[in-house]
Amino acid sequence: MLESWINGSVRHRGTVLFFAVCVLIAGVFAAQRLPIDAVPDLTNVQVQVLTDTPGLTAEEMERFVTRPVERGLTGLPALEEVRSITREGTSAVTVIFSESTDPWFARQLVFERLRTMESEIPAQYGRPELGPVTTGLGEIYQFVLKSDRHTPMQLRTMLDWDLAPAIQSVPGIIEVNAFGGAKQQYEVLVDPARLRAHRITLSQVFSALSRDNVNVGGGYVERGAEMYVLRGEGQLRTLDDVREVVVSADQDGTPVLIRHLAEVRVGAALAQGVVTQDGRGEVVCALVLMLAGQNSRTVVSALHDQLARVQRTLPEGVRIETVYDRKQFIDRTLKTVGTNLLEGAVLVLLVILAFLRTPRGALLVTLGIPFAMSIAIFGMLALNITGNLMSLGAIDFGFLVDGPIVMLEAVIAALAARTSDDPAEVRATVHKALLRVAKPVVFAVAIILLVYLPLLSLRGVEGKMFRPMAATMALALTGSLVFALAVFPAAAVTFLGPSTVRGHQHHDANRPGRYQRLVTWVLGRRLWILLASMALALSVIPLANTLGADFVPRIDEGDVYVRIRRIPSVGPTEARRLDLAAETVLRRFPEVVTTLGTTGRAEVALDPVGMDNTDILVHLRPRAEWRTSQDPVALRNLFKEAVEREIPSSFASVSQPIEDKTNDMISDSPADIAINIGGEDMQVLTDIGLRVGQVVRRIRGAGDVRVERAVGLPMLTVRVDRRRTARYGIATEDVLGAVEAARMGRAVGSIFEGQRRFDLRVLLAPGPAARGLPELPIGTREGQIIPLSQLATLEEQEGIAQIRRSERQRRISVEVNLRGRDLVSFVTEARETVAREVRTPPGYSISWAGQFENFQRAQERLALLVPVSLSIIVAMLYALFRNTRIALAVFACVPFALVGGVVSLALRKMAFSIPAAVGMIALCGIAVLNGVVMASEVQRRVLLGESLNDAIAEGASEVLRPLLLTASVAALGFLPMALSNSAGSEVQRPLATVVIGGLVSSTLLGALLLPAVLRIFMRPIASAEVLDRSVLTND
Amino acid sequence: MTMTQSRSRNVWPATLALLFATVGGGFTMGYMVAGKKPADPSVVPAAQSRPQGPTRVHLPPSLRENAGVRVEPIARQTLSPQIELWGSVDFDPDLVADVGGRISGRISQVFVRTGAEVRVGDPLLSIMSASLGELLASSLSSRAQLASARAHLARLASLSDQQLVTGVELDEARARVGTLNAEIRGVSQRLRAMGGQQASASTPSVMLRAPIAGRVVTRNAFVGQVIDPTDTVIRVADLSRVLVALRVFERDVSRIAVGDRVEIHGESMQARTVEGVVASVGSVIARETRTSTVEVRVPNPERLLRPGQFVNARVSVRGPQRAVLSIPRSAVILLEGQPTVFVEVEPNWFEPRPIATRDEDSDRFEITRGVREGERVAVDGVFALKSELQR
Repeated sequence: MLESWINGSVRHRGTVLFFAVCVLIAGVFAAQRLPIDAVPDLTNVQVQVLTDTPGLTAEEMERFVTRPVERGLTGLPALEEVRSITREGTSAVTVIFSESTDPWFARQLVFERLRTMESEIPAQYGRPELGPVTTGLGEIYQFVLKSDRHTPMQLRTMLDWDLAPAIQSVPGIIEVNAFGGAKQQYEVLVDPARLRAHRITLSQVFSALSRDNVNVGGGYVERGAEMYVLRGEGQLRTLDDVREVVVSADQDGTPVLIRHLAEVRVGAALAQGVVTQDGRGEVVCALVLMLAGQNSRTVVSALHDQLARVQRTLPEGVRIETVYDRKQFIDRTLKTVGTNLLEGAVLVLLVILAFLRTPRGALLVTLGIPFAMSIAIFGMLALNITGNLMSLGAIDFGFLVDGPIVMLEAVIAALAARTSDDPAEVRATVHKALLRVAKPVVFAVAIILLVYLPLLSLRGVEGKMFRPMAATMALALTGSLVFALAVFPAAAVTFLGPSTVRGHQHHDANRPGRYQRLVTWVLGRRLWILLASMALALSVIPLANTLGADFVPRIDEGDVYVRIRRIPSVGPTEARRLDLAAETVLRRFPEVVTTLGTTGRAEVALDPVGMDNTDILVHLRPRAEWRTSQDPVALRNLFKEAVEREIPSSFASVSQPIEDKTNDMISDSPADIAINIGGEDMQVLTDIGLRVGQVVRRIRGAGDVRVERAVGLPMLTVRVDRRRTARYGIATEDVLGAVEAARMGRAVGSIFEGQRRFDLRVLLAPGPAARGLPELPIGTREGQIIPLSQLATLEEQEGIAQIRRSERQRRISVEVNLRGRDLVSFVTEARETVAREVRTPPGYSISWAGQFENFQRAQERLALLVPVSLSIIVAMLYALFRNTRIALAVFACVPFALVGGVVSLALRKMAFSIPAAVGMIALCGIAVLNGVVMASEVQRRVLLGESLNDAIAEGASEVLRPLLLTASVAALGFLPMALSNSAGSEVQRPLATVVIGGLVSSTLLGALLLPAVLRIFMRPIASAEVLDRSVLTND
Repeated sequence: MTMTQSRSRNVWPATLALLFATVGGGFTMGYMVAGKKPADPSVVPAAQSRPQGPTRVHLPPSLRENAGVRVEPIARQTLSPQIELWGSVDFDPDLVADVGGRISGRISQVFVRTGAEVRVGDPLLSIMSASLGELLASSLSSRAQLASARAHLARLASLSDQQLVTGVELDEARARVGTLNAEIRGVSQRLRAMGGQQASASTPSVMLRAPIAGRVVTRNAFVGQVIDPTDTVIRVADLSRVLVALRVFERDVSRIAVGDRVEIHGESMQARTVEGVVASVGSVIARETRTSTVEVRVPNPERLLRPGQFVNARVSVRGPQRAVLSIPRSAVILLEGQPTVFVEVEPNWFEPRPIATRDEDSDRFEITRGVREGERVAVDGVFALKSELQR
């Protein structure tokens, strides 16, 4: 079959070459259509249901909103998990669907259910809405709006009503989330004393304002032949309109207007969050979200164009300052990838030139790279794989040209030994040489390809990261296989001739002679060699155990996200003070360009967090300008330490924008171990949590234990005493209306300024002597003023700050990070200890999750994948050689490749991570390549009747050059990645390091060991003359 | 993998060993990825709490400074708890005087305008009265009669010395003088009562004068107005001291005592306050308002308070005077639902103590349980300590 491919390619070489050129051209176009992002999207398929009801406590929110929503969503098809976070005033339910679900279909499903749910959630408790269609990669741009001539409130209004719609019109932008400044509202500040003087209650003011603020439609009237549309206008437009609203009439008939009772003004809404910049003061900022599945690069550049346009229309003095820009990260990453790929390609070309000294041949071989990449890009487009650091960044061009190199080498050898310069003769020689090596080449490349395939079954985060890589690599290898089988033969026959080998001596003469003598020497001491090699391999195992392990390496995004958590009771003023101090600390680092701290949540809350949560986005200078440390991880830790050392009440964790957002969305605890406690009563949960925390802290290796504080939000409950309100003849509504009006204000309608809509709120003016809520004045209809404490009991308690739910249960978690102990033994011991020492009442359960879960899953997968990969190799080898012994002999080289991988990791002090493991798996495939080429040559010679020793010695030296060539090409192709230190190289580095190390060891050991092993394994075949003639049919 | 009968014995141990090493290597790889802790743990604590659990909390000096933690020893101190009340300003009954006509008549002249300052005895207005004229006329005629009667009596007396008149005649004359004298006294008394002592018959008017020093706060008089003796036409009040009537709800009545200091603030006073003293505490509670009245005497030298004005008041309740263990409000924080203070037990080590409080004033609590005198309690930056405790 293989022969017929090559024969066909040679026969129809014109057509084949034409198509090859077409593929290359199509590849160029396809590359431009490939969605590009910096990193793969790790977000699962999820739909968020957000409900905002200012003023409700977490418990009420849960009862009236979260639970009905969760109940309503049960039983959706493809549903994997429903979880939620409920806080004071906000509820966020996240519905996770199975990976294969279309996100739009999932939204449709959830949306349908929401409609039916609406009857279950009373209107005053808010209306559940779907969150924006975005992913962990969605936050692509963030800016602050600044001006010396405008107030923060003006800036915020400008942002909300002018800028945001303009930005949202950019295709691919789903949401512009404004935060900070002051949200404008119209305020009616009612004076209780004046209410009393006019004998008017607060409720009368509420109803007067909501009643008077309407427009109505009245149909139409006919006038002669014409029709006039009838409308009634009562809408309040200005502050003066509001002032003139009639509330009631006095005893003597004088109308009482709002302005008699209250001051009407433009004010700021009660903020749920604070935004600060650079430790200097508050600012107005906006976060731009990208629609899921868009091409970040195009969206970001369209956004840049739009912003430039918008900037021109802004009032004088107002400017947009970028704080975060995904474009920078994408550009940096693409530059890294591009440079590495280009350098790799150039190195490959140079190596081929140096070894084979044929520019034409080298060029033909190198053409395989764009050809294979074109095929890979077609595949990526078809499979919806985004071009990013993982998918494009880990391709070794060396692998892609392995096949053609071996073929070229064979062709050159054949041409050098040619007997005639006749073109037809030359073509036949080339053709014959190609046929001879086709089979081992195809099998070798196919083995590498197949070894990558099991990686596609990785699950979870590691799957999301490495599946695109495995798929792309497999696609590219497929492309290279096609190139080697179909295109290269045609090209070789067409373009390679005697001129290719001009000045080339046949290599059998001198240099390999030394190697041949070496092989002969090795064959004599084969058992010793084998044992020594095995000892060497085994000696590496302890070394391997000293390597640290990193689950998935962090990709350096170039910016840092410092998340500061405080206890739930922190107030906005204290939080603001601490934020400014923390930012000042961060600004001291010379690497920091700017910091933007957001505390609490925006008015449109996408993140259900409270004042106890601060995210500081730290924009860094380019890596080259760093002084404190060149290592991003070290720098991040320094940030954390500095903040925690100097700023009280602040517990910092350092992450990066994309990483943080993704972790938030997939709700993966970044901790090593998360002990989740499920149950109903928050107090019981907290008690169990504290107990678990105590127990776990005692276990050796528990570095940092943090028990989630879900309880501890101070609450002031005003409980109306109905007996007392009855005595004074006051309606409960009046009392609670006053409580509402005291701080937040009762919303009684909207005021429109053109397109802009602002809330109209009634507030109680703070009296001069008001010492707080107990003295809050409540007016009676008789014109008395009663202090609130006379009508209601005020209770100070600690309430629930946040309720997290999963699997229809409340839960809190205890997060544990380890120090100086491995996960598995710690988890085992901790589980036993907790089970023994912590008693959970019925209805409460403890489950274990966290990164440890991912480790475990990856462990199970790898435990499955590695044997699968190895079996694939064995099976392929058997299929190639039709001989168990040879197959096993070649297979025996695999461990020695791994030796090099481990040693190189240790030498570079790198941790063992998933990319390293992927490198190891790839290495198994590559290591086999050497063996396959050598063993098939030996087998060929044996079958031709040479003695086993001669066959091995001569066969080995015959293939030495292609072996060294492919190995050095593959190694050099990865060299730029292994040495790269720029953005995004964290993932490529371990992979490349492992492969290079493994190639060195497998090539060196292979050259010596493989002959020995072949000799040991093959002797019985030769002596028994059990020859399977079928292996000769292709010669 | 099919085995042929030709396998020799020395190959398989090596093969198996190799396979074992390979597969074992694979598993080792899996183990290494899965079994290790990450090289970069993302959470590291800054300040540690002691291993025995969160009974004490340590705040390193660097944090302590930024948190603004300040420690004060607990000492005994007198507290003055305060009550916030509403009320209105009234005249001090001792310092207000109404001036009215004691006589029916017409106002002939008004000497003051509203707001004028007057001293005792300053003329306020005069009233012309017909009855006063009559009275004056009768007074004058009585005096004339008296003069003649006296002359007659003197003459009779000298005559009687000469035994020229009878004793009876003399007695009659004497009685006549007595009667006239009494008549005159009566008339002048009536005149005095009408304020018309100085009046003359030609101008039968009464001058009304300021009975107290003060300010004319109301003037209901114009020239020509007819007034009756019961009418009040001018009110003179001394506003250097006023009385503030405070409405007190049932729950607070018993806490207020005569002599308590009161701070008064009114809407027209901007940021200023004046001080007064409780003069009386009401002994009844009004049925419809459920309040009692506390009267406060307030010196008002700057005339900041105006009668009728609505004011807020803050009564410093003295109660029985005693020194109590007290701490500033800022020292108390809610911890697990309990009011708690942090005691510095060793330098930079703090211990949370739940406390019980009884009384409070605007900035201090009285502590009845939880801390001892002399213990050093954090009075500022308590939030940082709570944070460290609950980290």
